[in-house]
This record gives sequence, structure tokens and C-alpha cells, in this order.
Amino acid sequence: MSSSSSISAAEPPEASPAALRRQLDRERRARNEAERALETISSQLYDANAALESSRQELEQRVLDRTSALQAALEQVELVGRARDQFLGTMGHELRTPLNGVLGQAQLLATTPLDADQQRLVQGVTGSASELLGLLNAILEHVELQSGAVQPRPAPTDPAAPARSALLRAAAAAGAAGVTLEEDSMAAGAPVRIDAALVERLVGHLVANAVKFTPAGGRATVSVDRHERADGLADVTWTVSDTGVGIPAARLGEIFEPFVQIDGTSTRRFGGAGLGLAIARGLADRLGGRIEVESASGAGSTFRLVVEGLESASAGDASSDAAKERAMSSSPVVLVVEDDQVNRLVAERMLAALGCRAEFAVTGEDALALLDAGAERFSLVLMDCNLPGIDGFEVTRRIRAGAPTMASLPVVALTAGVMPDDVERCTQSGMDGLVAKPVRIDSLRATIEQHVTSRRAAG
Amino acid sequence: MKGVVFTELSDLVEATWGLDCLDAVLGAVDSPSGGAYTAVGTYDHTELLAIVVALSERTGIPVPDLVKVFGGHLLRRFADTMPQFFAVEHPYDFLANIDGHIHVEVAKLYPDAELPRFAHVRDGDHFELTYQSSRPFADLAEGLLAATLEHFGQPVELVERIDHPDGRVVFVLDQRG
Repeated sequence: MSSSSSISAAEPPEASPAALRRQLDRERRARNEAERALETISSQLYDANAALESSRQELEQRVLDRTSALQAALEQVELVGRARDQFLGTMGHELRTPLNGVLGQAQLLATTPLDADQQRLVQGVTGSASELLGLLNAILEHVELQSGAVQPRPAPTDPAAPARSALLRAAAAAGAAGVTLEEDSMAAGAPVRIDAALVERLVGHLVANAVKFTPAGGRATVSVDRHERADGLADVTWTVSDTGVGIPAARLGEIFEPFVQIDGTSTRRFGGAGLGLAIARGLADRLGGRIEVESASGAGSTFRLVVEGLESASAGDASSDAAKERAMSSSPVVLVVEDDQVNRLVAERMLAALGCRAEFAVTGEDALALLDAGAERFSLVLMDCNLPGIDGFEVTRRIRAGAPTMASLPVVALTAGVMPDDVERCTQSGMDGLVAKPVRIDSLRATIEQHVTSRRAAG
Repeated sequence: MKGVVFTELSDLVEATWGLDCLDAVLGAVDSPSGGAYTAVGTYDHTELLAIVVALSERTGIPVPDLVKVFGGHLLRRFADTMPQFFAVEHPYDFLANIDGHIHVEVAKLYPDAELPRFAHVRDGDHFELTYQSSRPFADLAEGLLAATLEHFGQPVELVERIDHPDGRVVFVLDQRG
């Protein structure tokens, strides 16, 4: 204890009865007070628990209500999404069909005997219908992108391939406009995982714009650059530059807005809906990249698609199926059965431009020998119908009668004659289609797409 | 002030001087409670002062000494009834915990308890505890402090007590050896 005095440690004196009685009384009162306090607290506790339980039930009900509301909203969104996709699909088809009809009929009309005036009128019809189709496609593409219906499907892609395809697609329009298309530094390297179709569409829009806004005698150049990063990913840039009219610096911000064209006057020099760059931007978003532009009035324009952080796709990504492996990691191989040397050269060059490798057979017998040795190497056979020795029809019949890998190969005729009789002979011999000679690259591309690309995608 | 202080004081008085003394002291104080205290109740702190004064008159022991003794007794009782707060190595750790931990826990149970504030400065062997309360119980704090040092048994001493005019009291502690 402390330093104070007189606090003894001895036993205290006995208590007197009076003091005991008074203390007893005090104890009783203290006990009562404690009991009252206890009762009050118990009652408060009871009320608090009841309030808590009531809150809990209310909360639970609210959660249930919210969940149901969210569920309903989700179902609604899905419904709208499906309706939208159906609408896009249907409207696209419904609008394109009659337009294609107009175009087709006009082209057929052009093959009938017409005088000079009539020919001019038919050309006018064809021109307007083509333009309308172009506008329609642009609007549908834009709407589709805006609605989020476009899902990218990345696959191992050589970055230069979609750029080359886009150039090919634009070749005809560029030629008609007198604009030279060039390819520059198409960087090679391992394929990257990206949706090639979307890249091709985007580059295609940029090239189409370049051609449209460049006067005759000018030039549009496409190049691809690849930068390997320290983390093993790649940054790829597709560049389209032109020597055209350019864009005033002050307007660079608006050009990506839909329906904007730099020359917005009523007598517009350049047709079109003004959607090309809006679509390009939408596609760039889907690809996880961005579009950059450099331009000045009268000094041409440069547009860049930049996609960063792309995974390289090694050959090991391919499946064990031999055909798939070949299809995914290398160019398709086309067997060209053609006896004319010039035709072979033309075919080789065109196929290379379309991303395919050509192998040749000069006669039908050679072709059969090559196919017997290993038909699974090939994705397509282009068959000249006029061959020395056994003709193309007979070769095709024998192919169809052969082993499964050979019999299932697509065979497309290369033929000068496209009269109904020729078509009939081709079909009878088991051919899958025909391409008219002289071969035009877009017909060849359509053939490749139909018989090679879509087969690969499906299988 | 919480009833526990009153019940502890009553018990101390009875144990030391007998029930008759307690009875006389409580009778001498004119209080609303009449001296009936329950640990879970709340009573005016002036009643405690009045009891201590009456006790001092009856026993002849000066008020400050009585209060310090009572402080020591309280601390020993706290160590018995709330051992969890004393589960530290060193008295400095305990003292540092009062404001931030112990009183926080007490306040959870007794939200209406007005507990004294203790600020501290710790510097190696040196410790300064500052007591601040609206009630004049610095002597009680001193008693509690002395008993704390004794409880932990470390060679720590109360070196100095400084009473400031604004009511703050600073206890200076030092560890020797």
C-alpha cells in the first residue's frame, strides 16, 4: 500500500445490528435498481432484435425484387439483341436482293444489242445501282458495328495478308480512278492472333477513301510495320497514305463522325455516305486498337491502324489434324492444271497475290499423278478444260472416282466458254464451279473464298 | 460516474474499517441514492467526493491519501475482473493502451461513461502520462498508477508529478536498471 498512515491491516470490528439492518436495506435497494436496469435492457434488446428481424426480412424481399427486375431486364436486353440481329440480317438481305437484281439485269441488258444511247443509259443504271449498293453496305456495316453485334474472332494471321487482300479488292476502283496502288515494306515475322477479316475490312475502307480523295495520277500506298516488345507481344501498324487532297488540320477531329465529309456543300465532289472512317473507327475498337491520322490540306493524308499487345501465334497452335495444320499455319496450295505457259504465269502471280501457293501440272495425267502422290497437300484444283491428252472433264471424273482425300478436293474449271452447255459439262463431270478466261482476279478471289477459305473456317 | 467505483469503495471501507464505519459514512452523506449502489448504475461523482471527505473526517486520514489508497485498490480489482487488459509485458505497454484500447472497450459497454483521458509520450526508458478529466481525481490516477507499477514488477518509478494550472497533471516515469 502507499505511504499514508493509519490504514491498518488488522481485522475490522464486528458490525452492529442497526448498521447491518441499514446495509441490508441498502443492498436490497441496490439489487432492485440493478434488476430494473436489467429489465430495461432486456426490453430494449427485444425491441432491437425485432427491428433487426423486420429489417432483414425487408432487405431480403428487396433483394428478391431487384433480382427479378434485373432478370427481366436481362431477358429484355437479350430479346432486343436477338431482334436486332435478326433485323440486320433480314433487312440486309431484303435490301440487297432487289438491288443485286437491278445490277444483274442491267449487266445482262448490257450484253444485248444496244445502240450508243441505250448503252449509255444502261451504264447510268449500273452506276447508280452500284453506288446505292455501296451506300447500303456502308450503312448496314456501320449499324452492325454500333450495335455491338460484331464479335472479333482472332486467329493466327500474317499481318501483311489482310493488307494485300484489301489492296486487291481496291484494284479495280483504283484503276478506274487512275490512282496507283502500291505496297511498301510489308513486314513479315510470325503470325499474330487477330481477326484478319476485320483488319481487311478496315484497311479496305482506308484504301477506298485514299482512292476516292486522290485525283487521277496520284498514289495510295499500304505498308505494315511490326514492333516486337520486351514482353513477347507485338505491336502492329497498318498504314495507308495517299497523295490526295488532304484534310484541313482544324477538321481532323470530326472526320471520324458518321455522315461527315470534309466537303459538306450541296454540290459535293465526292459521293458516298461519309461512313468509311466511322466504320473504320468502329472496327478499330473491335480489334482493340486505334486509328491515327496525319494530314494537311493539299498535302495528302496518312491513316494508321495501330493494334498493340498482339500475341504471336506459333505453328504449335495448330491442331493435330494434318489438313487443319496446313490450313492454319501456311498458305493454301492450289494445283493449277494448265498447258499454256503464259496462263500458268498469270495464275501463279494472281494466286500469290491472293495468299496462295501454286503448283503446276501441264497435262491431266501429271495432275492425277501428283494427286495420287498426296492429295491432302492441296486445297483446290484449277482445271483448264482444254488439255492435251485427257481433257479436264475426264481428269475431274477420275478425281471424283479416286481415294477420299482426292475425291473431296474442290475442282474449279478454267474455261474460255461460259455458255450454258459448258456449264452443264462442268457440272456433269463433277466440277464445283468455273472461272471464265481471261481470269479476273476478283473472280479468282471469290473462288478461293468459296472453296478454300470458308472450308477452312468450317473445318 | 459508474456504480462500480462506489461499490468498490464501499467494499474497501467495510473491509478496512468495518460495516459500522461504512454505515456511519454513508449516513453522513446526504445523497439521492441513500448509499445504495449497484455496479451497473450511474451516480453523481460529487457523491464519491462527499463519501471520501466524510471518511477522512471519521478516520483522520487526509483526503489525498485516502484517494490514492483507493486508486491502488481499484487497480488491483481491475486486474482481477478484467485480466485481458493486463496481458502485456511492460507497464508502459499497459499505460499506452488505456486511452486507445481499454477505455474504448469500456465505452462500448457503457456508452454513457465519462472516462478520463490519458495522453502519453514514450521514449525508451522514459514515459510521461498526462491525466485529463473534468473531475478532480488526479490523486485517484496517482493511486492507480502506483499500483500498476507494482503489479507489473518492473524497475519503473514515478519520478515526478506536475500539476498544471489548467487541470492537466503530468506523471513522469523512468525505468532504472
